[in-house]
Amino acid sequence: MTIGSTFASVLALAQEGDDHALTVLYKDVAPLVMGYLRSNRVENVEDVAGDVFVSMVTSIGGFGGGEDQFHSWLLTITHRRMIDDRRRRTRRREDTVAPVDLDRDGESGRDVAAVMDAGVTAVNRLDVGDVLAAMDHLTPEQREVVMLRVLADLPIRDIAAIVARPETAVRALLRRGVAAIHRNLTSSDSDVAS
Amino acid sequence: MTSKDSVDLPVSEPVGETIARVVSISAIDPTDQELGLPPEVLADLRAHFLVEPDELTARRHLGRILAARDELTKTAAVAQPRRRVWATAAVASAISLFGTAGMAAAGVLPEPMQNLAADVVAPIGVDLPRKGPIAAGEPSPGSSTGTGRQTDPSPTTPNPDRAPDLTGPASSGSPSTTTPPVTVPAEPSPTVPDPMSPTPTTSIGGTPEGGDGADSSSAQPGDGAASTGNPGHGNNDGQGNGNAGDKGGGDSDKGEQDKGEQDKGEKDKGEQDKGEKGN
Repeated sequence: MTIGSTFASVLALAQEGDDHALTVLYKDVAPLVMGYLRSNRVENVEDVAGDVFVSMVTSIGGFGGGEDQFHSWLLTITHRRMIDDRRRRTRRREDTVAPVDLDRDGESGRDVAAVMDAGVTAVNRLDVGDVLAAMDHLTPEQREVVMLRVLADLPIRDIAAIVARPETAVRALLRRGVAAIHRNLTSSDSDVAS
Repeated sequence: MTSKDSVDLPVSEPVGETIARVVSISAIDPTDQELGLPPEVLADLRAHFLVEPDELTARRHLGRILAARDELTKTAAVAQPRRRVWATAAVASAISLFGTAGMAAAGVLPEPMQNLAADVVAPIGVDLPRKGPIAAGEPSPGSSTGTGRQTDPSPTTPNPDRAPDLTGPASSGSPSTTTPPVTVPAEPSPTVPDPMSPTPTTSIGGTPEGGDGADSSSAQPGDGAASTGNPGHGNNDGQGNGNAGDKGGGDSDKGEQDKGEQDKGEKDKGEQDKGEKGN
């Protein structure tokens, strides 16, 4: 899902309003935008994604950079539209993170290595459904960071810019999110074994 | 420098936990392996979320994209002329401002504008060249009582017909430029010249009233009227300045003189008729 070496020319044409260039850009980034929204449990993914693409068209004239920068730039727009959508909703979703999980994720990350070591055998037998189930226990902030890292393969610096947090905070969120996934996978595996 | 110096490791901390903590706080981005998930699971996870939108969704999105593009084009088409007008106005204003300032600095503006520009920038300490009588050694109006702007440029105007330098009082270099012109006709000549005087116009500013010639040079209409009632004054003015009003005064004086001679001739004629009747 990359345009590659022709990205610069496509971007230049899109900035001039060329239909074909805009279509090429849309087809390139639509899976990423909608996947990020879907992975963060946005209810009306299509509408929010449409807002993202409208913002992309209105702001693309001032963008300059390569394809990776374009993805980061577009995910920044996507993240902000997602936050706007969350704020618009009067009924907020209840997070299903147990207090004991928050305690275990806290402080110095003491449980991270143990959980990861214990979950090695379980992870080796994983499928995507198990991972998705394990991700249900993540906080929204952890989910955002993990999905930006997994789906868009962005570096910490870009993720920090997208979610408007310090890099250290992003690093901590990513570490705790991954630890929570491993812990949930291990617990589900032990539940199945028992 | 050993690793123990750079990272203070607690003895009781397990090695795996330490590695996880160091990785979490390091500046190195975690790799897929460090995320702790097998690559195939990560690939499946990406494939689960990163899917092409269905055709209906893609059409809707592309429709919104093109509509936004059209709206943006319309907005730009409206905003472009406005921007151009503002840019043109700004450039024109800047050119006129700097052009006027440069001409004022060079002293090539017309006299009223030059003096006005000098007065405007004088309070801020900028000394621009002036034109007119103030440039001839007069004190700056900014440092005077403020009446210096009501200048009469005529005293410095070279007039070969006038001889103000010879009369003394009128041309002694006093700031006659600030003398209101209303003082000129307010000084009637107490002496009524003899209409029969043979040389009523020979003195060029010779009479004390001749000093008024400086005032009469301002071409005030009242000068001509005043000189009408003062033949001597009017003659001086009329001959010295060549002013139309003064000339009219001179002509009228001459006319009165001629009229007097004519009356005298008629009187003599009447006496002759009397004599003939008597005879």
